[in-house]
Amino acid sequence: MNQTPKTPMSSKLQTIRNLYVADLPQKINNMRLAWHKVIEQKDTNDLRQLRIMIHSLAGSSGSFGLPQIQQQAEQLEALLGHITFNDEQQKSKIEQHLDIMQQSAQAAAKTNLQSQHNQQEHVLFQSQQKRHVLIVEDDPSQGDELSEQLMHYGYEVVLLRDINQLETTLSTQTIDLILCDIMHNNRENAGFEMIHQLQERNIGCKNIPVLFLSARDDLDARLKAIRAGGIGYFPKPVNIGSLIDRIEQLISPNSAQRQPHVLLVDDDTSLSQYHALLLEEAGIQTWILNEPEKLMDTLRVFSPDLVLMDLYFPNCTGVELAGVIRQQNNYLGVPILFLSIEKDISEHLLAYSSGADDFLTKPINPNHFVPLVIEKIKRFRQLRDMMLHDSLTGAFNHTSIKNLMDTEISRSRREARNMVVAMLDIDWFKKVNDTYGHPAGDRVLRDLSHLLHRRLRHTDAVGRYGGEEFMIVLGNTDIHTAMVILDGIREHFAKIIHEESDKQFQVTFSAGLAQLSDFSEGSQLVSAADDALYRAKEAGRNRICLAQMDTLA
Amino acid sequence: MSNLQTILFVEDDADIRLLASMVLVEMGGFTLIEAQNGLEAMAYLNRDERATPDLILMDMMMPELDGMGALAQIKSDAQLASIPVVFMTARVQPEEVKNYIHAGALGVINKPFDPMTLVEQVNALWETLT
Repeated sequence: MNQTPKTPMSSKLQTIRNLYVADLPQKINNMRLAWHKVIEQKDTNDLRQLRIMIHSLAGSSGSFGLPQIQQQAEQLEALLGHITFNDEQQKSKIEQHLDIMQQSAQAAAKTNLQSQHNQQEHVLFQSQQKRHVLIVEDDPSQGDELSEQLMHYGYEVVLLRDINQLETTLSTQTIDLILCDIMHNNRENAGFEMIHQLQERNIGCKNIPVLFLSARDDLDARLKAIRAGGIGYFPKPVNIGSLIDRIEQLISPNSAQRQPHVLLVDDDTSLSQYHALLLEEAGIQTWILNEPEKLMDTLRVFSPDLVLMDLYFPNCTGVELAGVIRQQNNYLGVPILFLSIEKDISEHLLAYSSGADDFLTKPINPNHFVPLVIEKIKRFRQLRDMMLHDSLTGAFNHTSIKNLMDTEISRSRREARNMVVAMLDIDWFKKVNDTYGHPAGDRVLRDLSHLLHRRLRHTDAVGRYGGEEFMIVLGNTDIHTAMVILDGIREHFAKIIHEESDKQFQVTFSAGLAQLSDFSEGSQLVSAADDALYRAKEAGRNRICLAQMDTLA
Repeated sequence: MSNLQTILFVEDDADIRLLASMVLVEMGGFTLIEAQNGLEAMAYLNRDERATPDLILMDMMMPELDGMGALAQIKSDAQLASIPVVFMTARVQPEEVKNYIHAGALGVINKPFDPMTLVEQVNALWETLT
């Protein structure tokens, strides 16, 4: 049964236009990279490819209602039509043209974002907050290559050739991380010196993590890097996979965690208020429940990281309540601390056996109480993360992604919204393992997981469904939007270079998509997405198929 | 001529494919088969058994096999020759349109196309067959 109302055509068009516009600056950046390649290698085939890219841009920007960019692209296409590789004047004209187009694209993307904010309802897709990585590298080809790889992962890259402009760049642009080559203009330690100097003078990069890149891999260089304030050191050629691992650790938005939540169940109002106050002072959010009858509802609404409970209530005991909490899978791991004046050891044992984690005797000592609660929450979260996530890729594991999908289906129905389930599978994965070894296969899985996390919204759930198969749950999205997003990711993934013990290789994936408005049950949604994935594989891989849509056989 | 139902849509640009397929399916109610270039389109047309599309809507400038190349192959195949082919192309000169028609195309839709009238344009060309 179709429970999700169809989105009107105009708002769908608006949605894909927004996506298109948001992607434009990146697209033009890619054209610039392609242009640099053309100049360096003077390959007419590359030039033809670039012309096709720009020709397509002229066509698509026109259809998406961006006449200015259309016009600029047409002019650029004409310029490229009669280029001679040695004409410097022509080259700089094209470079200027690319600059102008980039500016128009950025302006369009900006107005786009603003209008999206104005009409909240239409904000269907906005990927994670963009992270800006500054690459300081004077070797043009290495700089281009590194920046291209990082862009595939969804970072905004600023490439700086001249280290002397670092200070200016930092004062004019928002930068989240710096990758700095140590050698500039053939001066061995120029990178160290510049970063060190800026940090000493407290300019710009004080709080920005700096990773050094170097052709040297000796202890002396590594020590210098640390002394200059670097927190990472990557010998060249840089292993992109491990570089991304490190960058993600340093600037991943996921590290911003939910404030700890503690539920206090106590029929003594004033005492529970006192405990709550102590916890609130330590930055913990609390909820006081004086009537144990409402326990179940409160758990659902508040979703605590820890429950602090009295041992006796008028109609039941705390031990019984703990038993009720433990009956439900969702709350199996939540720490329960009992508060009581009880000193009888047998009572304690009974409490432990029903699932209590610890026992605090009233009156409590605030100096012990708060740190104990915080420790318990930390440990609970670590355990929960381990239980919910796949250890290799950091994505959700099979069970949790399925649970998340079910939750999302209920939510989407309740709010009359559409949602999409994507099944994604790495192409010829066995071959990767056989040819390059299992560590290489693991590398690919991690790379894909990073890419998905970076390029999707943080509200989208990514899970490792099995072997080399991932499931993605995209809430509040229709299949066309999901298609654009995932197809973009597919293209980027295909261009990523994976590395394992000095071997480089590229891998693709196939995916199948299904949306809730076409299927009523979770199981149907999954098998429809699976069917579509199967068709994508049959049709030659490295592509995405939609459920119930005719496609190439 | 019966109703226009199935269209084979050949386009290398993913953004255009998405935009056009959305309006053709949702506004036009057509069944759409998509291909990314002339080669893929020919692979689809040359496969065994399945029914052929009622119409082919094709970009001109594509990697692998371009629009004119694909048209030539279609017209030289007795089983496919009767399928009408419409080109979508940018900044087309009147003489070029003549060339396309001469080569067997049904007509040309200008790029960039207006998504709100694409269905009308396709239908109008289809009507000319009756």
